[in-house]
Amino acid sequence: MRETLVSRGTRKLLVAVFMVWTMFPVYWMLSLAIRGGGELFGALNLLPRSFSLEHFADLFNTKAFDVAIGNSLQVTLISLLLALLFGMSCAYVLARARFRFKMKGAMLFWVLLLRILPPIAFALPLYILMSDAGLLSTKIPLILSHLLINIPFIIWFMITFFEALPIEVEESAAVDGATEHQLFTRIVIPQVLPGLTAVSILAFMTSWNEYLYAAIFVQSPSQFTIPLALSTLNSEQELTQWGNIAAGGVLSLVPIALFVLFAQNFLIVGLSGGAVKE
Amino acid sequence: MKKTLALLLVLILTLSMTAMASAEPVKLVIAARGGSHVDVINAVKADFEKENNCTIEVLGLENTDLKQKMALDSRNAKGAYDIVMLDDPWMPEVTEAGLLLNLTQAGYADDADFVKTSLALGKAPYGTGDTFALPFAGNVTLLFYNEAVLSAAGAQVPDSWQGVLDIAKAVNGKDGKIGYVIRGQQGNPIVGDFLPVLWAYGGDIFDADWNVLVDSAEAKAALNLYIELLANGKNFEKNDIVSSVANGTAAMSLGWPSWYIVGGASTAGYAKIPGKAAPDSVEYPSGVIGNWLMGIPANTQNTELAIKLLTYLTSAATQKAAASVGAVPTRVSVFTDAELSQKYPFYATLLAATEQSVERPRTPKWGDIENVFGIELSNAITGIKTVDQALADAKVAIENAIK
Repeated sequence: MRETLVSRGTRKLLVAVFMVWTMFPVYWMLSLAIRGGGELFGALNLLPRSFSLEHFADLFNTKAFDVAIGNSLQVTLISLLLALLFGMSCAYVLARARFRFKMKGAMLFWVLLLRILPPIAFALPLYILMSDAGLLSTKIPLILSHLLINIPFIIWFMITFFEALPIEVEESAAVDGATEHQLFTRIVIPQVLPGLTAVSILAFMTSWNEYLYAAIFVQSPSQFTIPLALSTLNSEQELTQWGNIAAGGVLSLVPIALFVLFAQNFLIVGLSGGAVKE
Repeated sequence: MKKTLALLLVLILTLSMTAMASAEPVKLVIAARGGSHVDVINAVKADFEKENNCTIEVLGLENTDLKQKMALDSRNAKGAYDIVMLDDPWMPEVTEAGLLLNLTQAGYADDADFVKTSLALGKAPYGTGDTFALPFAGNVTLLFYNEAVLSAAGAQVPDSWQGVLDIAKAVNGKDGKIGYVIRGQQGNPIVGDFLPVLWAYGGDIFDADWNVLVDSAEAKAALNLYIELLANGKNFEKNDIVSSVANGTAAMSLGWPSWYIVGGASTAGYAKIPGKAAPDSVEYPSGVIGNWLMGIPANTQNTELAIKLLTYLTSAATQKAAASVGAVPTRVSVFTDAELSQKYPFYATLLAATEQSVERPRTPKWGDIENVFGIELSNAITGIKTVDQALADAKVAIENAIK
């Protein structure tokens, strides 16, 4: 009994330490964002001594942060929808042996290779392609580059979910006259919703925070995404604007936090499911 | 479900079309360093737009991204940018790569009103060749000090590094004060912070024939002093350096003027960086010049208008107007303008320091050199290596970098 209490106490302590360790950066970002500018100059207290929304106001009034949020939403949502459409379909095809898909192993390796290679390896060829196609002044290169990152991830994430589904259900539906499209959308997709939710949020986060391709493809301040807008707030010439950077970080956290909040049940099942093939 | 899918595809298509439709019409585009430079250009561009019936878009970018974009865009027959901003050490690299329009060949005649040391930065070869870029924003490192702390220690503003060390020793540890703050992070910070000491001791990174000199007796003496300064102080990042000197926690540091001076007011005292090792030593120029230049990409589609805009942005009238939004001039006539001098008293010190400043070595490999030298300097100040070993290793690393 005593041993149980000790081990329970140790567990609670470890959880508490882990919580502080993981949550402190978020707290610190939030606390920097809401302090007045004067308080950020010099030694900082753990707790804010003033409250101000000046950094948030400054971002919108002088840094066109609303434009950056709009651009990030546009690029992220378009690329996410397209990546899910292509990635889910591809994962399903690769997962089902009944398609008699040859070269499955090689195909999977090829897809994986896109994730293994560093993104910078694709940057110059993509830049040349987009430049030659005259697309550099649009958001299309950015959307396509996000597809390049997310489609392989979605395929690899979802393939285990599809493979874990009992094929008999699909066979019964097929016997009942369901077309391939009906089978996929009405029978298969509802069964992998937790996985779909999890992969959506992870792909959303990847796209939302993507910096490298944005830095290469974006040609106009009117197309700045949030990471690009934040990057210009620190220069050798001036002191780092920690308040504005923290406020930008808080704002960029909001969509992801909301998504996770509403989809947390699906997310937990999705992240833990599919990992083990039965 | 098919309807939903069709609707989804239409939605995606519509959004994509919106994305495509946001393509900008042709205009003059300036690729600039993000931050205050963008604010300055935006503040003065209206008159030019009105007079020349054009629009100017300023793309503010992070340092590395700016250089990368300039290089990437150079491969296009039709360049995306009409003017690019350049940190002055990039000049050898970008001119050797043929990225910039030769302004001299395009008919630009040098303007003697620019501070000589600033104008020299935009020439290739340095100081003597044709002009490829003009100095847009002036900058030179200065010595910053807390007047109250120096006064309490009964010290005057030091004119030698021995003097700096003596004050640091007198102040450090008393009432929790810090004698001197170095900026000892690897790479650009520590190299930029150490170079003035090295130069003041008569040392340098290269001689005129590009032989590496970082293991010279002068360099060893300079690094020993730098380590002694750290022993009587702290190693901080730039925001903490400024706050500690400004609020009187620390006595002295080196820094760029824009860290301390906003508008006409400075949060600390400032002076030219000492140029001699000891009071009776030979004096050398010691401040690091760090101008932001403006050049015209060789592949611009608007050469004439770009030259006109470049001339406008670097003109005395524009620099005078831009001073009110925090721009640091590069012209003698603006530095010495009676009205501005009264409003911005630091101009006199800045002009004197700029005239006696030193440029970082003019080599396309400067980025690599700064990196490897910074690593070894960091090894020395943290005690991982002795001064002799660190500088000997730095010599080998720099020689490898310039091969």
